Amino acid sequence: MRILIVEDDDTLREQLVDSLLTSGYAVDSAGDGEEAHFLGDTEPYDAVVLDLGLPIMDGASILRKWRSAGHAFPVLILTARDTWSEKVDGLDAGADDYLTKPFNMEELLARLRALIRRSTGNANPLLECGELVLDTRNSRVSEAGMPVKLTAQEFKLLDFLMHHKGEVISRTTLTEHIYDQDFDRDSNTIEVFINRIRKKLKTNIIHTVRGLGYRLEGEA
Amino acid sequence: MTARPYRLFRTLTGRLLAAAGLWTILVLGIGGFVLSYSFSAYVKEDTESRLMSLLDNVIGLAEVGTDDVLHFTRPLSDQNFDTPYSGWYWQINEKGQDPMRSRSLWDKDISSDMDKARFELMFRSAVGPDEQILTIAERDIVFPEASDRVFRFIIAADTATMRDAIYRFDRLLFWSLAIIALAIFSSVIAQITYALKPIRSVRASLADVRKGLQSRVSDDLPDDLLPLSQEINALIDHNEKIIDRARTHVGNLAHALKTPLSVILNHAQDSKDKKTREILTTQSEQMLTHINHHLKRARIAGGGTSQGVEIEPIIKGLVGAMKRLHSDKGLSFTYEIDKALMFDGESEDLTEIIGNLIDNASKWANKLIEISAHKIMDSPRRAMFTLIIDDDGNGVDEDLREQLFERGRRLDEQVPGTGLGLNIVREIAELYGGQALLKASPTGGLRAIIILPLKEH
Repeated sequence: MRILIVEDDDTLREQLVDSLLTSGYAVDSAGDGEEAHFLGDTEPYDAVVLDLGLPIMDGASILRKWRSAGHAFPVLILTARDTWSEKVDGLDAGADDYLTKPFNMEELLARLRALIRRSTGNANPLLECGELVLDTRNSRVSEAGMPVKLTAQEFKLLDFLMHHKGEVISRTTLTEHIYDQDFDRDSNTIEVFINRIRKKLKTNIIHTVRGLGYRLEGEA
Repeated sequence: MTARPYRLFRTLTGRLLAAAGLWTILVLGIGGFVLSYSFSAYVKEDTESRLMSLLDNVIGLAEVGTDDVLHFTRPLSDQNFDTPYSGWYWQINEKGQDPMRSRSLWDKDISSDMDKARFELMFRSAVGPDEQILTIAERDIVFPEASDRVFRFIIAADTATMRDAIYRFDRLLFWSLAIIALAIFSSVIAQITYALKPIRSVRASLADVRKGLQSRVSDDLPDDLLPLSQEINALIDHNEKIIDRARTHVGNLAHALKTPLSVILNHAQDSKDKKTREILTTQSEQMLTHINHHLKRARIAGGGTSQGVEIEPIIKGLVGAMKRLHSDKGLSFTYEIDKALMFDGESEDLTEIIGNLIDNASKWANKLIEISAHKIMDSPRRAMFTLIIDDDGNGVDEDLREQLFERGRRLDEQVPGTGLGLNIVREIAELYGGQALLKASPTGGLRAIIILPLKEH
C-alpha cells in the first residue's frame, strides 16, 4: 500500500513518514501544495494524508482538483482547524475522513487502514482468502489458524493482493503500490517475492494470469 | 458608566428650558414695562388736559365786577364742584385775601405759595382734603378790568380713579403676560419633547444593539441626526472588525501551536525514558486542553442577532459530513424540520452546536438518528425554536446526563473526543438566551434538546 503524506511542518512530516514506514507502507511525502498536487495527480496512491494549510496551494483546493480529475483514492485530512464548518468544508471538498491535530499516531494508522479497506470494498478488518487470514489491525497473517512469517516486502505484496482479492493485478501495478517513488524499481523482483510467498503458504492461492499479472483466489 | 445624580441643567431639556425661560421673561418683562409706562403716561396726560380745559372754563366764566369783587358770570355746571369732598375742586387765591373755593372743598384750603408768580400753567401734586392725592393745575391771571390785581386759579382733581385705572390695567397686563409666558413655556416643553424624540429613539435603539435584539442602530431618523446613527453604525462595524481580527488571531495562534504540540506528543511516545514520556505527554495534553477551551470560547460569536441563518441546509451539510465520517456504520438520518426555519444568530455557532450533537449521536447510534426542528408556539418574549436530535443507541443514565455538560467530561474514554463538545454546545446556547438539555429518547438512546432564538420573517 502506498501513501502520500502532505504536511508542511518538516518534523511532523518526518514523524508521519517514519510511523507509516514502520507500519509497512510505501510512503511519499510533499511539503507544499504544488508538489503534493503533482504527486497525487501522477502516482497511484492507496491513500493520502492531507494537511489543509499548505504553502503555494491549500489542501482543500488540491483535493478539489484531484477529485475533478477523477482520482478516487481515499483522503484523510489532518489539520489543526477543528470547527464543524471547517470539517464540513473539508469533507465537501472530497475528503473521506478528518483528523484534528494534535492526534494520536495509533488513531491515524487505524483510520488509514479503515479508509484503505473501505476503498477497496472490504467491510471486515479481517481479510480472508480460503484458509488465509490477514488481520489489518495488527498486520498478522495466518493460514488455517497457524501464523505465517513474512518479510516486510512479502507482507506488502500479500497485503495489496488480499485487499484486491479476485482482481487481476499487473506486475507494474504491484510495483507502483509497494515501492515509493525513489525506489529503484525492477519488476522482476516481484516474481521473486511472489514465489517466496507461494512457498510459505500451504495452498496456492496466487494464480498467474499469463501476460497480465496475478490474481488472488481461494479454492472454490 | 457611573450613575450620577440627575441634574436638570446637564440635560438638553434643562438647557433648552432655561434658555427659553430666560428669554421669554426678559422680552415679556420689557414689553410689559413699556406698555404699563405708556398707559400711565396716557392716563396722566388725559387727566391733565381735562384739568386744563376746566381751568380755562373757570377763567373764562370769571370777571371782576364793578364792585371790585371777582364773580362768575354764570354758575359752573359741573355738579362735582358742589358735592363735598367729591374729588373735583376749584379755588381762586388773591394775595392778602381769603380764597374763593368750590363748595366741594367745604372749608379746606388748597395751599399754594402766592409769593411765586405762575403766569405759565403748572401741574403739581399735593395731599388734599380727606387724604386725597390731588393733581393740581394752577395759573396766575390778571383781568383787564383790574390790572393791578393777580388772581391764582386752581383746579384740582383726585387721582384715585386714575391710579385705579392704571392699577387695573397693570394687573390685567401682568396676568396676560404671565399666561403668555406660560403658554410659550409649555410650547417649548412640547417642542423639546417632540424634537428630542429621535434622540431618545437613538438611545433605545443603541440599548437594543447592546442587548442583542438589533444588529444596527435604526436609520429612520431626521436628516440632521442621520450622520449620528451612521457614525454609530460605522463604529459598530469597526468594533466587529476588531473582534473578528482578534478572533482570527486567537485562532491562528491556537492552530499554529497545535502542529508543534503534535510533534512533541508523537516524539514523547517514542521516548525510552518513562518519566520524560509522562511529563511531555501530560503537559502537552494540558496545554492542548487550555488551547481548545479558549479557542472554542473565542470562536463563539455569541449572543447577537443576524440576518437569519437557515437551519435545514446546515443540518443537511452536517449529515453529509457525518455519513462520510461514520461511513462504516451505515447510519440513516430522518428529518422533520419546519419550512424555512431561521436561526437568529451566527452560522458558525449553529454549525458548531448541531455538528457536536449529530457527531455525538452518530458515535452512539446503532442505525438511526432522528432530527427535528420546530418553532415554539407562544414562547414568551423572544421567538424561539427547538431542535431535537434522537439516537437509537444505549442512552445515558439520568444521573450521568448532566455531567456530560462539564468541561472535559467523557463518559467513554475509548471513543475519541476532546470532551468539550457538549460543554461548548451549552455555552453557545446560553449565550443566545437558549438552553441545552439531555433526555431519554423514545427510540431508546439519548435525546438532545436545544432551544435557540428564531429569526422571524
